[in-house]
Amino acid sequence: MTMTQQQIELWSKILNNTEPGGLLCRAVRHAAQSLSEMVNQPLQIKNLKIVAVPLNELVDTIYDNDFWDHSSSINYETETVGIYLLVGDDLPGQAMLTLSVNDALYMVDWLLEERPGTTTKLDSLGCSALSEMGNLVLSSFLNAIAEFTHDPLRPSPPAMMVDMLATVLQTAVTLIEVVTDELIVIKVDFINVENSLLIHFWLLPDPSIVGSPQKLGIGKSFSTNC
Amino acid sequence: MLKIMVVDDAQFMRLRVSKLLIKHGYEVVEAGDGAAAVQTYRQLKPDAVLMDITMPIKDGLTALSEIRQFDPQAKVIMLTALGQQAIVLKAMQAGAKDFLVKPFDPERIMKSVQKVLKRNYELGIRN
Ligand SMILES: [Mg+2]
Repeated sequence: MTMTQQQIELWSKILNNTEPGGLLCRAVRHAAQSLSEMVNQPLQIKNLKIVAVPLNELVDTIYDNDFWDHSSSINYETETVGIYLLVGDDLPGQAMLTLSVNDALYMVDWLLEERPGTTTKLDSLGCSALSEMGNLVLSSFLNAIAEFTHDPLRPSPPAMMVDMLATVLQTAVTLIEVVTDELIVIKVDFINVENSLLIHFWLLPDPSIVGSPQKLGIGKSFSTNC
Repeated sequence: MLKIMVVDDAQFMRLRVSKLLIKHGYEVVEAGDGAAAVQTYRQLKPDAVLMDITMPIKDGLTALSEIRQFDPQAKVIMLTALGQQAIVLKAMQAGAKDFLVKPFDPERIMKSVQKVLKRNYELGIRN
């Protein structure tokens, strides 16, 4: 089997193994658990969705709060922190964590073990803490997938930006070589109910490798609760 | 005072681990990527190393091999988010003395440091 066939097969296995006991949910739960341990706070997993999105509808789709069933609404003005990671060779694509700047400041307090409300702006230590959070979430996700593949799966070091969610997401998209008109978007929310904190975890399989959503057996939209 | 090198690209992680080690009476030196780690190891010969894997410029597994080449007795503990069997195996084959999976667990870190230095970390003295 060629490298490309292996890559397609692995994404296909992940995307078609979506029942609560399946590979994708297990990996998502593993990622959420690591994050929860890192901040020492309970987190719920909500609204895992796999969606085929036409590129020209990407921006409208990501702001469709009803579609994503967001616990708190996100609009064009919401300043967002995005932490990007390239998934390694065997699973080519982009992974990303996004959260509002307000939630990010809250998160930094937890990560630095400060009293909530202490952090009022993102300095280099705060950015480093958030980047490491992204690294941990994706690495934990990949660890669970690797248990299944028995091959190592390694992410790139994280990069971070602060902008509107649409810009953050479009940057991630331009980092992968888009050759189709449609993109597969996998998104799941991690929620801390007590403080209504909302963290989105996105996965974008590289379309230049996996091809169109239909080729992987992905319909218009699929959702589950892991 | 025993010297421990903390290698991680995340300033946040270096700070947390260093704080912990200093609290337990160790001297700490830091490096932010694998290349800096190899260079600092050659210069300062620390008694032990705590090293991340996912880092820019040079990753932790490559740095581990180079440090062990320079000093076959080097006591390197991998402290990484990548807890995968194949990676643990690779690190152990390259001479890592222990392998800890993030998130940060102070007790596990101190136990491991104590183990590789074969000393009681609470006493803060060399065996
Ligand atoms: Mg790292």
